[in-house]
Amino acid sequence: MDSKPAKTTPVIVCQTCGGRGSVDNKRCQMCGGLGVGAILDGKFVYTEANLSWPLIVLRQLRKTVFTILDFITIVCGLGGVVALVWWYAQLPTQVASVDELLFWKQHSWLILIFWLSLGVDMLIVYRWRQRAYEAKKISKFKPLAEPADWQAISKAPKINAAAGLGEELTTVMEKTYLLANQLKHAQITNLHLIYNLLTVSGEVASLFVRMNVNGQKLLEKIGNQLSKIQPQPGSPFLSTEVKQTIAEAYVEAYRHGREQVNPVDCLIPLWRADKLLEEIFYDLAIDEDKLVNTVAWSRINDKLIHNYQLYKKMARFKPSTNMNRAYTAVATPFLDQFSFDLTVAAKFGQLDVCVGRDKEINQVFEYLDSGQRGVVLVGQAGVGKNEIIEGVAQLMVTEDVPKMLKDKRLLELDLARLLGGATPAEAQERMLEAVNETVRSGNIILYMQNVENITGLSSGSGDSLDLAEILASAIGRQGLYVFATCTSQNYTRNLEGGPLGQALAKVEVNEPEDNEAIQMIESKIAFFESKFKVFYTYDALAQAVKLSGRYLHDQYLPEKAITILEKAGVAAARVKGAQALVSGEDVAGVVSATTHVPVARVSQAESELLLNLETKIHERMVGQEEAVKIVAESLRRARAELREGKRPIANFLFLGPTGVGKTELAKTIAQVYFGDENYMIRLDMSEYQLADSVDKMIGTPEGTLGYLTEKVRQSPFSLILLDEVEKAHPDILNLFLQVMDDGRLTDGQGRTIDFTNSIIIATSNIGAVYIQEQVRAGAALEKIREELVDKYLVEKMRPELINRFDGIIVFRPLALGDVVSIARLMLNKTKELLLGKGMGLEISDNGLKILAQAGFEPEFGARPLRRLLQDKIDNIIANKLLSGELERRDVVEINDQAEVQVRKAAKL
Amino acid sequence: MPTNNFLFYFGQIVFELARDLALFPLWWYTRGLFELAQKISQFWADSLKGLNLVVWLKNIFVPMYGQRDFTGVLISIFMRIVQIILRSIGFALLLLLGVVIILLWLGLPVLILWQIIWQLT
Repeated sequence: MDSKPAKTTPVIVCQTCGGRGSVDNKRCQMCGGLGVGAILDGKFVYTEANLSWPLIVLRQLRKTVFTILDFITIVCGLGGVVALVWWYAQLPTQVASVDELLFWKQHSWLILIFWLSLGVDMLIVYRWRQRAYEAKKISKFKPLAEPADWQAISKAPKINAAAGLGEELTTVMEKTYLLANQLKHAQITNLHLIYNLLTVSGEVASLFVRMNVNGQKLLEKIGNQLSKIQPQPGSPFLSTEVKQTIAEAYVEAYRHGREQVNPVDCLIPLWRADKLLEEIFYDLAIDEDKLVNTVAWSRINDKLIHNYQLYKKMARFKPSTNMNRAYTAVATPFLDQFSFDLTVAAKFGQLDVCVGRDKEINQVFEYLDSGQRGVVLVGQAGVGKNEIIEGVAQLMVTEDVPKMLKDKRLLELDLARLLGGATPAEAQERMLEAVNETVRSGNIILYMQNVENITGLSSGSGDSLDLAEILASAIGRQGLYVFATCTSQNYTRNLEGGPLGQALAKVEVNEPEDNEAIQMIESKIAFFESKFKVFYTYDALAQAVKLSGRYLHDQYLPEKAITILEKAGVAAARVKGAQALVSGEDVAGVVSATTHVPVARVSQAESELLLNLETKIHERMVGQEEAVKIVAESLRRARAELREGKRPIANFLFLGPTGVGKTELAKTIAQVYFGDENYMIRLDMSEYQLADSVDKMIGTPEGTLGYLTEKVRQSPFSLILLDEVEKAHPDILNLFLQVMDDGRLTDGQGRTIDFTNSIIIATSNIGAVYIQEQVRAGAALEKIREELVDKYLVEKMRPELINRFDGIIVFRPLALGDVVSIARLMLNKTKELLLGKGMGLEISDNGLKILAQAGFEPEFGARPLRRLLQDKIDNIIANKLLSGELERRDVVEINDQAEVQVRKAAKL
Repeated sequence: MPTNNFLFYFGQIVFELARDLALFPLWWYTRGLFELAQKISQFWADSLKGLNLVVWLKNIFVPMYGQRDFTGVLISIFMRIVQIILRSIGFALLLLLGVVIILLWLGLPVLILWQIIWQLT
């Protein structure tokens, strides 16, 4: 089944009449009154709908009368059988001759009724068929030459799109006319049309539910726009845009092989034809991708049902045993133990439907047609290789396959069971047995998932055959047909260039694009919806594809998105109950649980937090206004997605003396941006001073995991703090050169680790004394920074590394005022701890000042303060607690002399 | 307006009904018959496929169950002939069923008409 959307329809509008079909109330000479239309395989599709009050009433009356007549005919048709039974019931229990039982030889008014009703039955058959003819309004035709201009169009065959409208869309059109008539609008516009599409068609309404759009809100917006149209006398007529919409809808329906134009077919043309409507949709967060994919979803579901019906019909002929239809196959007791019959599973509908992989399946068939006996599907884990094989199994059931696959079984050989627990010699024996049995049977195609598992297994010395060679030789000489799958890395490592690689033709299976992946997933959702009794919105699907693409780099579409949607479905069913709506937020929640990225990072409205980032950071960080401002601005840019997606979120270099808050700012960023200060990977670069530290950082091919790469792989959303970066070995710094530029790093095992969701902060004490001197001398920070880079930094770091930093931020040495604020922050933490024990803490301003002065040393910043507070405050409080002097409800006071006192609470 | 035009609308519907009644016998012996013939031929094709008659005929000398020894081949040919005969009988019955249905379709209007007239006389 192909999932790609149909190509855009070329619309032609007459330039002379502007699509109206008339100029000054006369038929347009140029277009002959056609006005607007679309070219469909050489035919011109135009719209001419006969909409008037009498015609609408006639149609409705006709519908009612025919419904009543149908009911009467069915009753009459059944009445005949009742009459005949009644006639038999009236017969005496004993009859003179058999002739009396033959009703066609007897005279009776009951038998007359029977014959009359039989005539009515014939009428019922006739009417039923007529209904089927009426339903089929679109006929296929052979493509013709495309007309180039209106002159050519006037000669080209034409189709009136209005004649192709189905019952439901006809009702919509009539209601649209009545609405415009009621509102006294001169023209029937697309607004009238969409209003009725939403109110009449359940399918259209449910599509908007899928798109998570409040139908009432949409109707209100459309209503508002309708109320702006000025009323005019006269009967309304179809606007150019509506004619265009209907013509395009006809083309859409034709291209999708429908028998009539349905309301859903109008949605994309409506969106395309009307700028105002496009704006209304856009306002409700419906863009082209969303609309196209949601409409495709509805079509995929229809097609799945249609295909299933067709499939069931065809599957009747496929044998469900291991015998082929010609009874030439041989019993396969060995294979029966170690394999799974995919064709039987397909016959009974146990396999998933394969969507959007026609190209790959055709490629497999082309190889078989060209004489290849083995095909290997190569692609990343999760792109759907197995699904393609299941698709082939389904086609084998309907026999829609090349000759060599007809009347055959597709057996999946369970390699784990076949080789599990066996010595290499036994494994070889089993493989030979499986191959021989397959060849002897003559009706089996073998399928091996992850075929690389059999390479490198051999029974004797290095020169003896390995299993891959046995298989390759069977494919080459014994006429064995094999399908296999293999990941890209394993193909290169184990198969390429080897005998099995040569025996198997390679079909590459690529990861689908986002829109293709969405449509592939749409075909699976119905299963989850019925399993979990939930309803997925389009946003849930789109988010699953988008977020998994962004955060799950070592897995592949569509599987990774499907796994997330399944989890989201389970979670929604459990939390919200049956019939719950699975939204984009539910999916974001699952992604955040899987990747350890806080939900807030992914989906919550965090604009307020970002706008007040400086204030938020200053809640736990004192001073350094310039540094905080630069960091906050950079993070806002990153969050608003105004950054290149191929680099880390931000790379900063913090310069300044010790104890001025460099690490504290990094921790604060981790907390504010990632939601928790634990989202920080701290690397003390003085531990990476030797050249072999690279292995410690990224791991080795032998299997040792790298500290950095493993941490980032597990939680890609992290702040990486490189403490004292200047102390690292130059080779380590070279690694970061690549990380900061490309946002990725290959670890020792060859895996690519993604750094695009990390913030990298390097800190350094380079030029600390210089900074202190300059600040004391009153120099501007910007000037200090320039000097630092030019004179001090270039000596320790390569210029290209310095250039990779988004910001080199100089931290000024702390002033006494800053230290007082820091002391207050630190004591507030103690206060919180005491509150937890039911005690209070009061600090006098003077006492605080004394403590700050005592803990402040210009060359060490605020670092000695922590030690001082521990000695002078925390230790004393601890002693008082242990001695029982300090009890619940007491208050600890730090008085004007910075001494700790206890104010006892009043006795109760 | 609806009351004034009611007769007109109703006339249209009655006309359509009358047209249907008039055209119905014609449809029965033209398009209806053609569609039935198509359905029956599809039924025969499906039956043929379901009974595997062609596959059995094609493989008449191919040994069953891969038994290629002389006895195996002999038994296989015998079994295949028996199968082909049984399946042919089955198919002939289904062919007959199709023919009966077509004959019924052809004869039903005449039969009904004749019976009604006979009942009334």
